[in-house]
Amino acid sequence: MAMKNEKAKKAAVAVCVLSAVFVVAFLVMADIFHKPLRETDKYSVAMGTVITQRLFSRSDAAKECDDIDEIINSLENKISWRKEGSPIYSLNKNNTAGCDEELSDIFSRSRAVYDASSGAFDITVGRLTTLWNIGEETASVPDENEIASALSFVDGSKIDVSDGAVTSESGQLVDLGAVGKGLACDKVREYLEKTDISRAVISVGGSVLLYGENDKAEKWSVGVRDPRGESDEYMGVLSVSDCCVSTSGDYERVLQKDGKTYHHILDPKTGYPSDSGLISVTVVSSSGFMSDALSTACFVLGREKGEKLLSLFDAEGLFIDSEKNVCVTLGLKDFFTLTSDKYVLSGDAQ
Amino acid sequence: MKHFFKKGDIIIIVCAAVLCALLFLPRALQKDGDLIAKIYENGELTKEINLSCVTESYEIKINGAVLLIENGAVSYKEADCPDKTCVGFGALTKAGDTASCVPNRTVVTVTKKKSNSKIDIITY
Repeated sequence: MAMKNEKAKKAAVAVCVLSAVFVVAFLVMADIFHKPLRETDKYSVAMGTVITQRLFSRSDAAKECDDIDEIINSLENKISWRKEGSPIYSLNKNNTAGCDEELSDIFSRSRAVYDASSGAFDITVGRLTTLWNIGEETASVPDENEIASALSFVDGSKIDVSDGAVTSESGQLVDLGAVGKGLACDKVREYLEKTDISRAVISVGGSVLLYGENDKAEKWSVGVRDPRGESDEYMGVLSVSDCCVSTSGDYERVLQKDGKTYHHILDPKTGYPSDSGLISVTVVSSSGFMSDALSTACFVLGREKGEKLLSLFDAEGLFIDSEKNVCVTLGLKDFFTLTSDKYVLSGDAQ
Repeated sequence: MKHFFKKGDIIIIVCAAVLCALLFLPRALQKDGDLIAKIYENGELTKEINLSCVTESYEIKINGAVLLIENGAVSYKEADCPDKTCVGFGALTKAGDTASCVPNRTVVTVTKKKSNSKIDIITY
């Protein structure tokens, strides 16, 4: 009898152990194959703006979020004219600075957009931007003489890169602010490609990197800020993936003086805030640098010239004019949905 | 059953079950629709506040700014930054609302356990 009980006990223990193994194995498999991707979020401040990170992966991605912050901070230290010791700071101080391959590439692509936009995009606008200083406490409306004087230093064709050095003309100030956020998106993408993260959305002050598809394996839904609404309001939605999206608008940083509003996107030809009739331009490109540079250039050029510029760089765009007409380039038409009844979608974009 | 488990085993199992329940209880009690304020200082998540559970308004200090925590809302009440843009954001009341004080390197965002937002991000 005792023998029988002992056997029954061993059998029961074996059944329990086996059941436990099966349950654990099932839970592990279910976790691997059916668990929705885990989202790791992070919000931080760099480049004078807010960095939003949403990374989707099987495990916690806090380390990757920290790495991304470090990458953006390191880029800022390299390309900001405000950061003492940065090559751009040295260039503006001494009209010459050491130039590695990365910087050389930035200057080369900046020159390409400068040439193609007939100077509507120009990284030598530093004298003008510091003169107006829009968005800072010391912002003021300069007089005509001051603007004329600053304009005399604005000429992107004078930037020369050779033998590992970059040079500018005496008095010129280089400001890479119009491409910094897009460059950050590109650097983050390079980093993500080396990790296990397959889906992520990163916003660097409104310039957005859409890495892969979203957590539901669909295109990302990117709201386009309503230029006449609150900061959290959007006028339409872009459905896109694996690309960068940048927007330039007249609402982002402004100076109000004597009942007049001055926005921060300066026309390198006139020295005044751009007056092309557009209030917002959104550009979609495979490159963050290009989406950022082209959105600024298109904002200054206006819709027609802007569309031509986009076609040269294989980019798509969405233009909103001051009458609230919305124009979307052909390649983006099927991927944009207007959600606000305050705007009218016009159909004549090429 | 009495033969398979000794008294000590049962105590251990009960303790483990209570520990698991305690670990998961706060998460289980947090409703999907609850609004959660996430507060970041210098890139680090320093506070998470369930705004849906706030019964009485109160203030907290973060890097050079004061946040007003209310039932279903959070806002920058004051800050020592020059432009006061953060105060201008007003009250954050729905999932996805975000305000920041760039000079003080702080960000406040409101999320829901289960977000029903139709968009993933806004370009601006």
